[in-house]
Amino acid sequence: MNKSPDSVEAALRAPEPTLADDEFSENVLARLPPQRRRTAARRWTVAGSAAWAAR
Amino acid sequence: MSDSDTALVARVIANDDRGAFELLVRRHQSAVRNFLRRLARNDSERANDLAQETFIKMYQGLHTYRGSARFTTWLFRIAYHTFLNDQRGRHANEEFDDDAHGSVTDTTAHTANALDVDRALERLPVRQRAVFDLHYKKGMTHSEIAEALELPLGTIKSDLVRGHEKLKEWLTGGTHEQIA
Repeated sequence: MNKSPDSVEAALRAPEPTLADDEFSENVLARLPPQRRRTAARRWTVAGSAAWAAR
Repeated sequence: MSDSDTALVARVIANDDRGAFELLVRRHQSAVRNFLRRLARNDSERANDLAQETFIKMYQGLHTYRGSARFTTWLFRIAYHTFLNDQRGRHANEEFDDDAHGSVTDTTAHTANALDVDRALERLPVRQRAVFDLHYKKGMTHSEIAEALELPLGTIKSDLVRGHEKLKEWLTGGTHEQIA
């Protein structure tokens, strides 16, 4: 059957399905590089500062 | 959720906060997956793979997000280019691939009445599919779409007009009045 312009417009504006699941976000997180280690960075900074001061 | 996208982005940049990143993924995964499914002509497996890639690129490029555009505008730009890059690997010319689905005349002659709106949208070229999805499903303005797809504003407007004309022909029997 032919669709009326109004029904086409309504279909275009119809809400889309919700596509959300834990598996998706878990898969994305699993593909990220290892997390930056702030404590390691701080130690390096302290050690670096000490080395610099001892020069 | 009370945290704004911008606040979450700041947490990821400052502290590599994976919890904030996960919130961004959870908040936007449905819109991005639906957008890519539209571009991929309802191939949900491909769309999900590309959506994952989109969020990985988002993570890698967060430090380049300046906050001048809405976060979603920036995110859909990544998604669109991720799709185009993938498409280049599959077909030398997407528009040529679109032609294989039949011209407007062919479609009108054979199957116009059987097509529903979603199927008709699948027949639009990829750029028009993106424009229609961002406008009608995501509620973005013409200017926001132009920014997301990195196209002139006039191109977005003409894509909407031409897309409407095609849908009109395929779905309502061939008049050229504007649907909206």
